[in-house]
Amino acid sequence: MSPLSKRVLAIIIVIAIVVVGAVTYYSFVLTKPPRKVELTLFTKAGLWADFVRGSGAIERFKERMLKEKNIEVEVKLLTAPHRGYSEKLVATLAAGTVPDVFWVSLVMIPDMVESGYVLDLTPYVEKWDEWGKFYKTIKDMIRCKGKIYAIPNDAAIIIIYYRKDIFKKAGLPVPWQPKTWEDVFEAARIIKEKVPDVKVPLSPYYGGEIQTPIFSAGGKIYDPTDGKFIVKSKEILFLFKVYYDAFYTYKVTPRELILERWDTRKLFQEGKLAILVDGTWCYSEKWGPGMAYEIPNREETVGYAYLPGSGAAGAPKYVVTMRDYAWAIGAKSEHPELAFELIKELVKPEVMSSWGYKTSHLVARADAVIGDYAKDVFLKWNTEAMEKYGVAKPLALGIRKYLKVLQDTVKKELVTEGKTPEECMEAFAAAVTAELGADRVKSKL
Amino acid sequence: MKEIKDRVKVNAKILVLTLFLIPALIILVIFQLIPTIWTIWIGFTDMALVGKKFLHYNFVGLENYIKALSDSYFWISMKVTLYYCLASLALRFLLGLAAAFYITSKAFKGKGVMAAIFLLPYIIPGAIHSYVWLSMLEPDYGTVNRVLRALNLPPQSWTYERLTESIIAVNCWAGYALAMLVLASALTSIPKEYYEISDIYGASRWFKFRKITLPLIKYPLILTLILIFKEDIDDFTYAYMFTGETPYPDYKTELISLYAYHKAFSDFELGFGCAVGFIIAIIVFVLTLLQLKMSEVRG
Repeated sequence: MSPLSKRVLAIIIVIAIVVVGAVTYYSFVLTKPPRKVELTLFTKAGLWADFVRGSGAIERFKERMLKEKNIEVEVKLLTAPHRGYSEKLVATLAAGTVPDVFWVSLVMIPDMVESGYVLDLTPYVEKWDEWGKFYKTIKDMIRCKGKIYAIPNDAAIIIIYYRKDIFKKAGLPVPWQPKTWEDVFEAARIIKEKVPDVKVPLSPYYGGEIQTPIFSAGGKIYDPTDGKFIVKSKEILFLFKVYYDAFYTYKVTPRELILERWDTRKLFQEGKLAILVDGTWCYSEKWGPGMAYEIPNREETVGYAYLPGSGAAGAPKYVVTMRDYAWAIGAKSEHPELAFELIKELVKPEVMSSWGYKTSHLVARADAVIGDYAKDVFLKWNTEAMEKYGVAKPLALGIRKYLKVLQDTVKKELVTEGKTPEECMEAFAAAVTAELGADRVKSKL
Repeated sequence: MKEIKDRVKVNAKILVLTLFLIPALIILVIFQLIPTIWTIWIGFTDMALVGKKFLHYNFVGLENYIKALSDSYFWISMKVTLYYCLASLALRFLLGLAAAFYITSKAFKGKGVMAAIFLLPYIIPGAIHSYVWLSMLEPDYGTVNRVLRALNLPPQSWTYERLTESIIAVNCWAGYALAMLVLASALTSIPKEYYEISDIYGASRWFKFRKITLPLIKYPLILTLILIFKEDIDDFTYAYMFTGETPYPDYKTELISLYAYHKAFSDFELGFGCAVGFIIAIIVFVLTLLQLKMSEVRG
């Protein structure tokens, strides 16, 4: 055989080996039946679960896993009602039923870390190139002991809403931006005098962020340098004074609002409440088109403003308290990598943007300011407010109990029993010390 | 030989009885005994549902019980529970007695149908009652206040000022059938001859009730009162449905069972909640002993 023929034969043999190898690979490896895996996703029933179902995130995740990893994933969606969701989630986790992915309020994270319920996501996040697109304020907000235990799904801030129609009737300026809490009380007092039909001139707090006036005064609730919660300070006294003034000094907030648990969002819709401190989500979730308390001509009727600072030296000009819900992975999840891939799909920019637009939550990443979200005036204003004036509570162990005691003190000692701000602060300090221990609290007076 | 055969028969009977009892015993042990013992144990610890104390809880002895007994809110809850129980007791008993008289009397027709209607609230789940009544008692748009307004009567704050009374009323409406059943059975066991003889002597209805009916249904009556009280003292459903996940600031509807629930599942203090739950169990146990004693005395 000539050398040329030998060369040709060798090339043919090599090509044949490559082809046979490729065919073998395709037949036995790529068309191998996919591995079947089940993931559980636990979230709130109603609006939240419906959005997850409708967003297509689960379907896209399943397609991607089949294509990239040859894994057939079944995502089982479990829900608990909105009312008492955190309690039901904790009971489920304590009973040993640990979902792979679950929706969690950030204030629960420190306790959940101690209980061993949540997985440390820091190693996953460090390898994720999209993490850099999340806002720094939000990334800082979700750190617990320097680690990341949940991926933010959205953000929300607490602002002041006011009824423009009531303000006009009372002769108050629209748009309105109070510079101090005295401005807020003055507006409420004028409404009480000039528009007596208004049942509640002012609703001064949103229970979930009752600590806001502390931030208004430039104060803190926790000192990370010594790991202690602050139980007495000028700023905490300011908080009790603000609420005392609302209920007793100026009488612009009826006690029944708290004692009888009046539905403030409904009262606002009905025009019976003039000034309401509440979250951005109310704008669409409660008052938006087709929602339970729809306000027709919402843009003309509903005004919004930053919460004012206290006006004291060192206090911020304005403040908006930030809060957040996030997705966590159960510590006992058998498929944490897959669970993280699912979360990545749930927090994709287009999904986050759509959720934010639908429910007036703010996006947690800069590249999610797209589509209808980017064009929405309300959301744009709030996103800027969050960047300029956003303050968040620290994710320190004990924060949940601290805030619960603060809520209880305001409701019982202040609203129900009418104790003075000084008495309330003493009661608050004693109660937090009893809950957390004397070694975890301090006074700044 | 006969003796041996008899013994074998008896042993076989006992074996068969035991085999029939075992499934029920297994269920009782798994779903009642073990959880009860576990709950009592947790009551002696500082276990919490979240936080460090979930994994690293300690035996604290009677600390939870001391904390409960020295907690002013525990005593407020006990006061609310006592008020709730006494009010429910009176109303459920009186309504039940009236219904029992109705369904056992000869004067009225359609008693069978009425008895079934009277039983309906008792068999419908409590959560459903609560939803229905919550909407009917809504101060602005609820049916009850609409009727009051239509009758030119002042509407009431059923879901706040009268909240405890609303819960008592719903409980009585749903629960009077128990008293009706027990008392109806007691009434039908009174021999008719006593009433016939008293008719001959011209006794009035009130005399017959005082001298014949009451003495002869004394023990079932007392048993009914104990049963109702026992049922009400650990009532939970209506109070929870009308109150929610957190108590009202003035604890107006905080029954002791709800207090235990809030402590265990809203504050996540499982150890403390279990201790309060065990205190309720002790009270119910004492009432049960009383009930058994009454049954023995009657026997």
